Amino acid sequence: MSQKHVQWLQEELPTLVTQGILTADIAERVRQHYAETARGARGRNWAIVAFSILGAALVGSGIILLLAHNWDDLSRPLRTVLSFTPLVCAQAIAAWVLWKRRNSTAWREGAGTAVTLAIGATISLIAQTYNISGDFGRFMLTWTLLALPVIYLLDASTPAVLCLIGSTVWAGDVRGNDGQPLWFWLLVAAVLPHLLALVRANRVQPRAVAVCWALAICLGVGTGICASDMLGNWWILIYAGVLAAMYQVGERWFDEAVSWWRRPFQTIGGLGGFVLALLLTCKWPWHETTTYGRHDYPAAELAVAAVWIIAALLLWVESVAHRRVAGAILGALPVAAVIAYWLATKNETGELLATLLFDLFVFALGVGTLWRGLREDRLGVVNAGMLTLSALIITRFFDSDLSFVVRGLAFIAVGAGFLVTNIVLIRRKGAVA
Amino acid sequence: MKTSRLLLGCFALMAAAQLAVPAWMIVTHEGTLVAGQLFKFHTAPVDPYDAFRGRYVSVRIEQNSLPIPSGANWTRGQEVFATIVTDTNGFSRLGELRATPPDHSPYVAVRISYLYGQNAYVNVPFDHFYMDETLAPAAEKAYREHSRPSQKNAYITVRIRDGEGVIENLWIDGTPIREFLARK
Repeated sequence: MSQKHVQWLQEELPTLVTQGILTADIAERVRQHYAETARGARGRNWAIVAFSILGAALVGSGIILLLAHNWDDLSRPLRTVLSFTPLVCAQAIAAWVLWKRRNSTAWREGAGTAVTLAIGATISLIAQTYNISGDFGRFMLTWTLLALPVIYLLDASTPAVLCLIGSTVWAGDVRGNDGQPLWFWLLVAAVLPHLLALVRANRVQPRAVAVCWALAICLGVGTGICASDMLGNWWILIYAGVLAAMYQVGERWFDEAVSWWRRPFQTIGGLGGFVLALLLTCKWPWHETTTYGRHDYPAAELAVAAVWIIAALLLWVESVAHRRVAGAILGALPVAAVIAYWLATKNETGELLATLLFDLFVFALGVGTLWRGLREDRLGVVNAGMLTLSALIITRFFDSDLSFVVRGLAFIAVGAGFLVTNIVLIRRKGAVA
Repeated sequence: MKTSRLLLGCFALMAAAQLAVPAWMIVTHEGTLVAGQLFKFHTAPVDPYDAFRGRYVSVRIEQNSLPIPSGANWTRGQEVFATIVTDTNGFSRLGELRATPPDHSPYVAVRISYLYGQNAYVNVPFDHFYMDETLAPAAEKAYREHSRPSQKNAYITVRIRDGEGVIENLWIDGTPIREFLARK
């Protein structure tokens, strides 16, 4: 039974009960039965989409490998014709899908994947036929740019994921060759309208979640590629901005998702923000800032860094105004980073103050998470808070001159704290149940 | 229906662009192979494997660095132009580096790999010679053996036109590599 029919039937049930045709009990059983059927159908639909993507990816990869064999016996014109075959076939399938199966997500995703892979295959095969040298960056950029329209014309998310990966790989190659990877941001931005359309329709649907994961990971990696070399020690500020913005976007718009894997922005932003903050409690990042700091950064790169920091700050103001505890604490990461950066550039005392500021920040993050977990009675969040505090304590104990006895006692205290809290919470939950 | 037609029109444009890029690669390289000037370069041994584009013999011409012209402020990754000179034995080598293409002598566009002292190390755009995957390992072996300094009888023939070079063949002992392997 289709989704539309199930909805109609469920709307009819109260009338049937009122008219005495069905009892309330039977009506409820009918409602539950069709709700389960609809859930099963949705699951099957996504399985079909997943298999169509996997099928297209496997067939595409197989064709690439088959042609990569490099058939020496074939003449150049014949090899040229063969090189175009995967792309022309994939395009023909995609055109047929647009004409006849536009409403099928499975067909659109499968055809989009096939066209995207075929573009790479055709370019590679022509390069092989004419012994064209390997400018890998240019190859990735050409492939990504040619695949971008596929996302929108076929309304397909797999090409979006592939384009995000392609952009990141391109940025990595360009940076490796001392080039300018600033276009990375524009390539990533080119995928955003597709993500926005998916999110508007249903923000926790698998396609939106997949693109969000790809975006979160590629932003994390791409920021490192673009910032670490081109912006010297500004990486602290730009990473703080990116991770804080990512977490707050997740908390603001994707908080309704039930599991961590359906909340990629919060997962990557939260984990990344915690790791960065913990790193900044050490002295070396700040010491490098004062020792090797540069002041001649190009305006475009500074603008990108500024955009991220400003975006994170605006989201932070919103998080504070709406009393979202986690967002308010993690959102303060760029503020703390800017203050600490300014302090660290002064002198050695400033470096020390910068590390102390981040000790306080990680402490606040741990306590805030712990408090939120206790208030909402969520064991996972409580443990995340305790892990944050433990990580801070362990890090401090590794770079301090305290004796083994004191360190040992502290570790026992932290471990005991973990155990006691967990036992208390589990008992409390048991009592409630 | 109107939207469908518009969508299909846009799709046709996209498909044309996707086909045009590899087609343009063919046109330029085929043009160079047909009308380009022929040069012979001695090679040096190397041995990689590119899983994505199949098997190839990685060839490298002997000379990969040239002096930086005085006053030039070049950076890594920059495209510059190398003139080509041919000796009395008929073998060619890179002559000098220039920021702009020379007017009357043959040249090839190269990318600066890195700068060291007064020299620029360059990537020459002909370093891949693709072969059937079953022949490539034997070809690599033959190429390595015959491009050692003691032997030096491996070379490539390259067609060059308007700064672009396309490898025509890889030669071992005066014989095209495929023929050389077939004879063995």
